[in-house]
Amino acid sequence: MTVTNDNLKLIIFPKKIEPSPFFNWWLVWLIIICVINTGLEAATLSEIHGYSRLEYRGRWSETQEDQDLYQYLSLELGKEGRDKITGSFFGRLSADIDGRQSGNSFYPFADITDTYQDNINGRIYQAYLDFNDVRYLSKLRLGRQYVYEGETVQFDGARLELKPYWENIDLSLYGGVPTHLYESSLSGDWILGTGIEGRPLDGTRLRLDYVYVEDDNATWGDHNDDLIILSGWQRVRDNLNLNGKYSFLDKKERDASLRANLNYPDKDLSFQASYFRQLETLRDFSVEFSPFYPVAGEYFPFHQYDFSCRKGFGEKLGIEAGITTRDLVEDTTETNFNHEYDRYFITLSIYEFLLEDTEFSITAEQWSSNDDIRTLGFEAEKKFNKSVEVKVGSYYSLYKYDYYTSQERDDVRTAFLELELKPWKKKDVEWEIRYELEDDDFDVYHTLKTGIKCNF
Amino acid sequence: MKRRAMVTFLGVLILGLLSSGCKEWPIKFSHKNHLKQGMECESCHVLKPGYELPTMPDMATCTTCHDVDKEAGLKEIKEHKTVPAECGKCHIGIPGEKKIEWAKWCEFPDVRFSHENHYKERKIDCKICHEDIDKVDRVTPLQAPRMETCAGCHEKDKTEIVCQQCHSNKAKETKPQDHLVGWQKRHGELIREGIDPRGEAKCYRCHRKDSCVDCHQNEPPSDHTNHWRQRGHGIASDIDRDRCATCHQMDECVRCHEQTAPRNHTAGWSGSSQRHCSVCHWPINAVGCWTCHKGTPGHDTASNRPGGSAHASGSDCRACHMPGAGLPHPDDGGSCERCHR
Repeated sequence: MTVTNDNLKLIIFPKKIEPSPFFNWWLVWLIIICVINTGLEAATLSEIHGYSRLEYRGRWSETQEDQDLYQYLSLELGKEGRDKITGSFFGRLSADIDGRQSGNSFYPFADITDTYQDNINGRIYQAYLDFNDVRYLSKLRLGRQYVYEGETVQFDGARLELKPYWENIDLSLYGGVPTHLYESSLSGDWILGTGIEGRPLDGTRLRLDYVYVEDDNATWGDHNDDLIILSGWQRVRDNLNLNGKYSFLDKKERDASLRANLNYPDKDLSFQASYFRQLETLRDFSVEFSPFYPVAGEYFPFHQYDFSCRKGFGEKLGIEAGITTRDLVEDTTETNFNHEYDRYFITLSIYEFLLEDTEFSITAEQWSSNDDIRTLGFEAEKKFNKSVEVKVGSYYSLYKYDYYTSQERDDVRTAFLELELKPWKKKDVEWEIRYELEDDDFDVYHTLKTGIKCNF
Repeated sequence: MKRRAMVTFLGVLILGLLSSGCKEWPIKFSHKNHLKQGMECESCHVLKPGYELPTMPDMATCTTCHDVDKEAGLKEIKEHKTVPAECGKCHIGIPGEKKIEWAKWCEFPDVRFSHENHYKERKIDCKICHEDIDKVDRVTPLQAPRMETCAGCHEKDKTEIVCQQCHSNKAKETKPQDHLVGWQKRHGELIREGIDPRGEAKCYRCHRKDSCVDCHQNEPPSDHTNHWRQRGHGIASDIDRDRCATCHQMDECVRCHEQTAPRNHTAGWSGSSQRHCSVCHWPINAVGCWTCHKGTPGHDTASNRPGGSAHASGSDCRACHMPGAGLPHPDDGGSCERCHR
């Protein structure tokens, strides 16, 4: 494909999304300043690693079919902790090679890319440069990026990590235009956030995060929301860690959580327990904080308890089991998308059983609510040598749901066979072929995926 | 009842796990106490020239300081089958029954590491690699060296770390021991909960910090089947919408739902059979029509309850408005005043 300016624009800014002047000029200016500040030596990126992956996906049933092509590109520039300038890029181009489907009628292989007018669709998930150790900053990140501290957000802009002014206190700031990959217009949207973290005592970590989002949209309205999160971590003993969070959204309490991890590494035994409480009814907020309100409606307060444990028996066997219980604060608020539920799961993993270089696991899971979901699945993997790896697996899912007769149920059976090959010894190239068969109450579906990944 | 059975099952399972396979280390030894008294590591662990590992102390090393009559102790054990209090200060169980095997995690058969080079020649403090060894009464794998510690120094010289430099038979593609089949499913939960007791994720030693995004964009969860896309995701989000928020944002849901017709909206859906109404009115708030049809006539925009004493609040509407007798829509059995206010 010839890369024209229009194509490039499509890749960088998905259709209908106009590049914001703020993003264009402000960002370019900052990049130039930083390159100058860090010196010419830093401007030379010593190495580029990553991969390029081209994948074909064909899906067909008795009456319908769909064929797509995907191109992924992942780049890592330089090495963190060593180079002055580092960076990262990850993006995807997809092409519906047998034509886009109309959304007017039901189509079993409908995909969100079918909601766009073109057969070719581009996404940039992240694209940033890091300027490390710049004057008062330990790091300046510019470009499309994720922030995971506090609330996970994705935006186009800048993030600054300041060098500690006081020992044991870290401060970071970020701001820009929030990335809404599937929203047509980003006009009027912006995000600003900051986080301060301190370690006042040995084994204690405290953190305060603040995020402000302005989100203007014709479908879900205009929102200006601010979120404050207080977090704390405490190492009680060598093997016992506690973590607590309390958050406020638009000056109202949003949720609180408490987690505990207990580990006995010498016994290969670990426990996790947590309590989560949604404190207020959540309604319409900006995309970043929305409980999917336009689709699922109000989200009522609840308590949630989780407990899981894992025990390894030598190097060959491991068992993990867990339970989650959610209770609504007021039973009367039980509606569609607001349910009490219990979830149970158990997983058994066996390593090198009977055969060398084999792995096997079996998992059973149940979600019990007004609707029930039960799954049982196994996966087995055998590595023949450095060049050939085979995986097989099968899953069974039972959905019991309550549309209006309380009797409806869907059975879904899937099975797959996957082959991973490294055909060239001297080149880091992987070839993967996967066939999947799905038999459910609607139809029988076949999926064939094959892709070539070149690592560099 | 079902919940109680499951809780009982899990309880029994956990007790079983706790009581099995937990062998206790047969020696009580506090590094904290001994180092506090000014002892050096080399007092017990001797570095012999030409050996990579220091020696592990035997009882003769202990008796250099501790005045213990080993022979008398063994005699008492043999004759009276009791462990003398003096022996019990260090030994758990009956000493001498079995040769002490150093814990598995103390062995690094694959690792090439020269204590002579690091400790003797470069004068690197033991505590740099054996973290908190001076603070613990009982050594656990937490005091074993971390790869991050090695890399922290070795990366400073701006050279690419080669796995085989330290590991004799491990290459880049060798997975850590805990990356078994189930790992792919549970790794997310463990990372989020900070399973590493040191409070940090070890993933970044081999994986890039961005590999989460790379992989999650390529690899949907195993239950994201064709059925999932058509119906399963609705049932799952009905139970717990928080799970969706791990990867998806609201803009994605809205865009898809605005333009994609549900599977049951077939040609006859809005026809004379009024199937769509009967689904919706069973009862009105219990199904997902509202997801797309927010302004549907008859719901929020239903006509007001007529005035007059015959239509007073609380009166029996069905006494006159029976299905088939002037009721223009199916009857869900609920209160008419919910819509006709």
